[in-house]
Amino acid sequence: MMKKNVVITGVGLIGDFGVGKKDFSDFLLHKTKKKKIHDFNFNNYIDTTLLRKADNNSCFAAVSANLAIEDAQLNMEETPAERWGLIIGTTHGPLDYAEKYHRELVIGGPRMASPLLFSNSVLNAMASYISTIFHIRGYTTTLNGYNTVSQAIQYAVDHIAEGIIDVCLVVGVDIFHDILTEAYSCCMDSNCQISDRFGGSGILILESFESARKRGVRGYGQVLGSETITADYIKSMKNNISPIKKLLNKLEYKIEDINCVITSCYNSKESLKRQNLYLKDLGENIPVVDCSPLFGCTFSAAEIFKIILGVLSIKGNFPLTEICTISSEKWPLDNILINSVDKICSNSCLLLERI
Amino acid sequence: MSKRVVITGMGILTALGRGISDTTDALRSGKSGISKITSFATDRYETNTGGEVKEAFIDKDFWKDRSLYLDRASYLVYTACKDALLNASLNIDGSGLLEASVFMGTTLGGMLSGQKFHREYLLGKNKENRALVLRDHLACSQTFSLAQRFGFIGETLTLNNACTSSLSAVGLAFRRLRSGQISIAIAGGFDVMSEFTFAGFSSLQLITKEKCRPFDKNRSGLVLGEGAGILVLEEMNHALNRGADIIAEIIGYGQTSDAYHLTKPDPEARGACNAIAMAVKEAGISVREIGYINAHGTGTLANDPMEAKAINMALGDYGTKVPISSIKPMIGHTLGGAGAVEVVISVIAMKNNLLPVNLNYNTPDPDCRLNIISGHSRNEEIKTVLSNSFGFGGSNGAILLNKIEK
Repeated sequence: MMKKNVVITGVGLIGDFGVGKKDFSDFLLHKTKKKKIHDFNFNNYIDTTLLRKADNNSCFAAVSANLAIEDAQLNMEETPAERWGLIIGTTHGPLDYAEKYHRELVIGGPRMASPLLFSNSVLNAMASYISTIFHIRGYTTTLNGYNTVSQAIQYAVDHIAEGIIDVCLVVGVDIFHDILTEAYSCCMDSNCQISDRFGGSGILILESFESARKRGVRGYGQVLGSETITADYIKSMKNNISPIKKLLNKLEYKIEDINCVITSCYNSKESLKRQNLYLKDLGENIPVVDCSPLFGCTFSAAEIFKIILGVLSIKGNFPLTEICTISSEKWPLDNILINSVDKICSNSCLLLERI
Repeated sequence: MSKRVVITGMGILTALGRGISDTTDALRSGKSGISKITSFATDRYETNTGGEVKEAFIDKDFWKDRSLYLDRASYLVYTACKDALLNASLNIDGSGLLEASVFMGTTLGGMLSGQKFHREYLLGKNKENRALVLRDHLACSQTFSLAQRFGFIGETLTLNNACTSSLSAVGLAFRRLRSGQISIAIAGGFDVMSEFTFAGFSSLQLITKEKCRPFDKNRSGLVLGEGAGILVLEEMNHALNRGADIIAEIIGYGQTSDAYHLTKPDPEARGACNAIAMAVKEAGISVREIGYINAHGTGTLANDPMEAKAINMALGDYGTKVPISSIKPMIGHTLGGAGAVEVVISVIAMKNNLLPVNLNYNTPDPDCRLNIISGHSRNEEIKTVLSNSFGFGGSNGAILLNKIEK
């Protein structure tokens, strides 16, 4: 069976920059922030009946899913529920509910432990809410890690290409709260400056090129492929391994074929060294956009925001030339390589191509 | 052209013991590993039993310079992984690079560390050192540690689909291997016994005060357990080229979502039925070729009739005839580890033509029209096994395993 090409047809996002693509672009161009976490009234964006007991991660993810479905001009009823997939990437999940539940257990004892808080503290609670609200009955999974979104996109592509599902929502979500501030600031990692970051949620909708074309939707770009390797700086250097090299080999691309790189790494010396090592192979002629200062340590949210920047740019919806040096004759770009270097040893990259 | 995916190594650690041999003996004799919980004080709870792994079975040589903060979960999964690698005749010293990808499923990750940190935070204790324990708290931490310790350089991934987590991990590894994207994977999962979970399941009134008796009319809930199950999976030619001993083949996998409720399964069993049907379709077999079903069978009021309905819908009349059992009365519900642990047990059953007993089953339930293996384990030729896993959030998984004829 011929494998299908997979394209991105919808984008939805919400964060402290505001709501949707316009606010996101304004933030990137002018560094303006429109919202604070407590300002959000979810009722303004989505029917919250099914979300009244849900944590903030689920609420943010649901709002961004709604925006993405609208953006993709998808009619949920036209595709059977069993053909929809959902892959969520998160670093911390609903830690706020886990914290509240455990606080009740420690302070009040077992009789005070709330079954509602417990069931909402499970890492796949978000997947449960999103699948229930949007009637998604196909492949649904939650991934935990630091750069899970690149991997989530690859698995969505695989499942669509192999005909297991037709459409897939890929989610990146992470919201900050007090316990994380305590955890990261007290000793876990003093490099992680999270005080002014609260994260957010972003969603991409992926479907086959054929299905998008049938609906008359052009899409933002095609996902050509992705690669992930597990190696820290020393292992990468000693063994001369890199996710970028591996991906380019797999796709039979040459370095000079790459038009632009969007990258970010965790805020630690080791991660930065790893990122520089991988980028060094690309030489000095390829423009690089470093997203680390833009989204900070917002983990899975930062990763999806970075990928969304690439998605908007490959279609020409965001003027990447305004935030990095790209010669005008190269614009619009034919492809963008998106690179992610995590806190521990996972390194991913994916290649988007203009349709 | 899809590749064939085979199992070349297995490691298992549960309340029944460590390794294939101990587990096979226990399954054959119908032994239960359930006993009084010792890892935390249970005097404030109405029940106090669970399936804990005995300390003597756990290898503590994982990572000496990290021993200050490694969670019990790390040791459980390390022990099972080491056994699986040895079983697959692979190097365990971590000195070389192995192109393997790692797919792990867990519900809790290093929950004992998180629990300890938070308790000390709330009580204002041990401020200087308490954050150290957080290093192994996140669900992805143990997976990264395994990859680093054993020198795996492929992709590393942690899946969290509640009690389906580790079957999802095996399923995703199967897909990556079948499509030819990777050639070798370490897949499985784990979870530890913790008061966090015990109190949560107690608050949901899902823990039985007596014995766990899946599919029995008088069942009253589950018993919690802990453990790890790890599989070495390879693309068939990769295994043959390195002269590996092939234990079994994975021939089909299905994964769906109920889109129904945060904790309750869909009583109509549509998602569970679809997962089984997807696995059967992918395997390209007749349902009558399935010789044994290793059920999810938690012993809760809601799960068992839902699972029975899913099997009856997916397999038709044959669903009431195929021998089926749940091993949760023997080891407890190992949560995120259950799927992979039960795949290992399914392979043991298939390899030994052993139908493990569904302990404590006395009274048939008209809502569970199944051919339960009751009384004692028995021997019967089995060529193909179906193993199911279902979880909170409406997560459903089903996998089909086939015996390899030598």
